[in-house]
Amino acid sequence: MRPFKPMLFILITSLFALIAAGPLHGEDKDDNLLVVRAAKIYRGDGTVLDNGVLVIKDGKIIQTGSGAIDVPESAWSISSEAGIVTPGLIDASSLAGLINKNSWTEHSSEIVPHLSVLDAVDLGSRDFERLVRQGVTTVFVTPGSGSVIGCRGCVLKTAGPLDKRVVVEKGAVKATMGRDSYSRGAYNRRPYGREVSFMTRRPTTRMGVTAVFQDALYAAAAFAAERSKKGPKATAPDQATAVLADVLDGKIPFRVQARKDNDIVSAIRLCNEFGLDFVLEEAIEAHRCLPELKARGVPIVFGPVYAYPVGYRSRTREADRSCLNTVGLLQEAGLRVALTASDQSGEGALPHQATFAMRGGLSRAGAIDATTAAPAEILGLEERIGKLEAGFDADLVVWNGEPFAPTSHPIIVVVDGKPVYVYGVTQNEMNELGAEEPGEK
Amino acid sequence: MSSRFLKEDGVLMMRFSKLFLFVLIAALVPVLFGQAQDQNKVALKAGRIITVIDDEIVDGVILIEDGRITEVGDKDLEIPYDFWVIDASDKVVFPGMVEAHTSEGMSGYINRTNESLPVVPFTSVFDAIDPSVLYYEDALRDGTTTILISQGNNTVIGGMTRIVRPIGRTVADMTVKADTGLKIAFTPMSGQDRLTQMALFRETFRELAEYKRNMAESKYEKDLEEKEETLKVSPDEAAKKGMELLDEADFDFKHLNLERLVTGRLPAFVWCAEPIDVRNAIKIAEENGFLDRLIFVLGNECYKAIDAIKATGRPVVLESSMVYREEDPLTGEETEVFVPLAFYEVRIPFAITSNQRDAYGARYLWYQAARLVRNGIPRDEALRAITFTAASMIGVGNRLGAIMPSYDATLIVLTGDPLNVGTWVDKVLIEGQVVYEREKDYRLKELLTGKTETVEEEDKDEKAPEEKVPEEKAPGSEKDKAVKKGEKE
Repeated sequence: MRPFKPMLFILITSLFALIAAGPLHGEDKDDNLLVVRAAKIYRGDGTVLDNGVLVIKDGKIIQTGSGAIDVPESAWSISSEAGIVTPGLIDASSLAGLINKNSWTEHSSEIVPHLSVLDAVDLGSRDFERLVRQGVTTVFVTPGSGSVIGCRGCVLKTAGPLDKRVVVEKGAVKATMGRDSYSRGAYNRRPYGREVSFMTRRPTTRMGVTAVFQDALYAAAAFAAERSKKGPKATAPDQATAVLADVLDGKIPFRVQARKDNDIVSAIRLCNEFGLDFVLEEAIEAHRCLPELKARGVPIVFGPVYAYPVGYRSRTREADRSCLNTVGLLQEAGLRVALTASDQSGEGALPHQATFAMRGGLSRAGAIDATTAAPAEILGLEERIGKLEAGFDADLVVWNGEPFAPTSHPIIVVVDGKPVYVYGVTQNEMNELGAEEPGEK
Repeated sequence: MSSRFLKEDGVLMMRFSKLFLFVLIAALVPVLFGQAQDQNKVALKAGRIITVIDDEIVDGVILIEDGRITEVGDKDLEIPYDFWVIDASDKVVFPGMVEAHTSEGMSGYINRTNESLPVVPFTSVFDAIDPSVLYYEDALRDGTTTILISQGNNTVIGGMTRIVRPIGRTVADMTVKADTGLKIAFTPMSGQDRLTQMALFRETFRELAEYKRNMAESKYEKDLEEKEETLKVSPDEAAKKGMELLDEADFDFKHLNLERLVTGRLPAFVWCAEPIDVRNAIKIAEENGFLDRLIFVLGNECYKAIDAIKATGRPVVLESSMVYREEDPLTGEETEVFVPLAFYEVRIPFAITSNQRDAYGARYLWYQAARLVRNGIPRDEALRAITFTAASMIGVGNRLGAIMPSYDATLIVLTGDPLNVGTWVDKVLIEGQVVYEREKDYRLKELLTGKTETVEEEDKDEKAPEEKVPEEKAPGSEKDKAVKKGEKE
């Protein structure tokens, strides 16, 4: 763990008038204790602490409160009179760290749930640094949409020591409805009068996608039935089927990417057929199937927000009928919805997505929920991240104004109790400060 | 009277469905019949007036006559009896935003933004602007009222730029100011290197000089002939004397704009993607006498040539992404430079632009201004970068981009502070005429609610029965309104 440095705090104070560093007069400080004080703390569960205080020990929050509460003398402190704190943002469908963002699809088969996207992620990628600068502290790296049933995603922290970054190594399996599984496959060619070859293996219609999906899951269901009868002696025909059987048994979370309303309805129909609970991803036209989604209670990872599709999405012809207030409408319908920046970065990154969603009509509380507690819940990590409560990971962002205002930006980002980003301090300076003191592991 | 604008409204109809036609006609009804008072005299009551160059006025009044602002005052300013009052006393009035340089508004296959020839100073965006493209409708919705349309960057000497308002049936109707400059690119065209690019510049200006010289010489000779005198001087001397006799009418269309450029009668919008192009641009402009009328259109990296730019004293238009990222090859460290801040710090006047190819955010000038504030540029300066500074550098700063007497009444009425996320453009006034009202913007409503709002007739033949969504509240009032409008139609 990177220790806490006096130098860092001198730096912080010198850079920001609005942040006062904690007591610096010489006495011994406990590197594992940190107190954060701010004008306002959004806890992520809908409550707000005015003049809030968070006490952090060993990377976890141990106490939260308001105003004058007793804090350990030996703690380092970050206190910002104007600053506003939110939990670290969580992107539940990110492409961060993927080396080739346009093709991380395994082409050897259209059913590849036994692969793990973590194998394609570069933890040292710049993407994570940039995400930290935007206040994103946890991401679910989503599998590629080029397979009908793709591989398994992973949950990563965006900062901290490399060996502590991986939160969930093998997460949800992702299936794809619609066009992507044939248009994203780089080697997928229609036969055009020639014989069907390896290159034409994939489904080329929505009907084909559904058939491949059903085929795989019926095989998995058969194996699951056999397994429940014979126990561990049952052997799976292949790895993919074994993983899908776990999906059917509810041991592995499942998500489905669907953009158009008919694909969303197909996803619901297919998952009903197999009694599967699933998370809907992308969901551009979710506003058009509110009743169906509501009836099924599907959690949704929605994003990005836009008026006109750009990039790959614009070419799919699946993404034209967007709505600026989908997140608001879904929340109103009582659905659990997380916001994602998906493939967008820079000004399209997660906090700005929240800005745009708010412009569409989402409340600030709703926007904070959709970027913190809701994605944590969708990732099954609601006991660990997404809220600022005792026992939770100390991942937080100090903003210079109201979070998600177009004029606001993060000034300090803390991951696992350690500041990993300070506005105006470069990554190398941060690293040097962290490495300065010997004796820590 | 207002007939010009009524006609101009028609432009939006061309492309859109029958539905939109209904909407527009419905939108026009109040403009046609709603105002008993003289439409040329408008009093705009505003909760807050952001004048951009002066202090903000709380509870202010703007008096408009014949499309011009005649008076700006606080609530003590008396409104004459014959003025039509627009009550925006709970809203914020801001100058219409100014897009200082864009190649939008003329997209299409034949209307592509670059001619294939490298040197085409005889062309003009006049011929490529398509008044019916969606861009202009969006511009109104987003509060952009003054747009400088320019050819693309993939050229050497491009054509004429033009300042338009986003409303009008024909390009002539839309025009605020014609022939506002030549587009010039110092960053090589695709598939061309810098040497060739620079050689083309030199060759073009050399050829112009030669053309001029020959023309001057023969004109001098002709002049003597007419006076029945004999030629006594050397050809060089004759050319020199002939120069004084030349006027614009003598130039052919291929040379005319270049001549106007080199004699300082035409501004140049000079595209430089990289610092090296800035140096080349300054050199060529200095040699050919158009440095004083030059407006830099810069890529992000050009902040590195900031000293050279500062020395020229010329304004800059900045790229929409605004952030320059660079990796240190030794340390591997990534640095991010917020480019407008660098220009602000040395007090070079700068305008920022939007990018219509972005999904959100950078599409909007107000958001771009908010980004300036986020990155440490004072709010006043940020607001001017999308209004007054931009208008000034493109040559309409004497009539657009600020709220003060004698300026055009090209204003936007906002529901809140321009940099606030929840703020929408409520009304747009162009030269005193209301040309956009949010409550009649059906496309925006559709985007926000996800529901298509149509008049009854449309409902019948377009809607599938599955659209019935039980728990959605049928917006009674809205629907009634739509029906009513349909009836009026």
